[in-house]
Amino acid sequence: MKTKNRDFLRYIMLFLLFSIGIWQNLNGNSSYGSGLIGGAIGVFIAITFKQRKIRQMEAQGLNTYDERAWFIAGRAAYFTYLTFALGSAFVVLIGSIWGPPVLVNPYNFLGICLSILVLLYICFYYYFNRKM
Amino acid sequence: MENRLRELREQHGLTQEDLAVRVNVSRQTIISLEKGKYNPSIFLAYRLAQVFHLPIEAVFVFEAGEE
Repeated sequence: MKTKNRDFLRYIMLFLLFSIGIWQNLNGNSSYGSGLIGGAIGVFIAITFKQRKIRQMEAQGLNTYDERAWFIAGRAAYFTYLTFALGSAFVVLIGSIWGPPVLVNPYNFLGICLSILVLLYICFYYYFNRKM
Repeated sequence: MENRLRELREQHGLTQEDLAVRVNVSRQTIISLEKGKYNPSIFLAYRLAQVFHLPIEAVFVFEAGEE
């Protein structure tokens, strides 16, 4: 996917999140709505700064998504999957034996899983980027 | 894998950024290659060798058992 298309999709996603935030605020779910609006604004600012830097590098003729970046991304994704799978298996194993039965909200649970995956990916990417 | 990138780059009077632009990668990739932390794909190795007008084996030193 070209950088322009990727940027466009990112901004559409942020706009959607921002709109859902406003909608939830108007419906009285202010903590969820404000969280979404704050998150969307924060990500928008971060992406804008990052894209500016990338464009400067591209203007100098440098390739910011070169083979090393893809290699690191691949390794980070693999180690994220491995850590998450092993960690989950361990928690399920121990929890099934000794843990109390817990009722969970599936949406919260998926949100937490997603956060853990993203955090793990960022940590592994940072680690391999420093290491290589 | 060992390589002679730094030596060749300095011989040709190129900066890391110049070389990165010529082979269409980031400067960080050239730094990693020079430090021997990252092994390039065959395509990148070929492009690097082309910049110095040398065969790949004159730039990258492969020793058996390194894989």
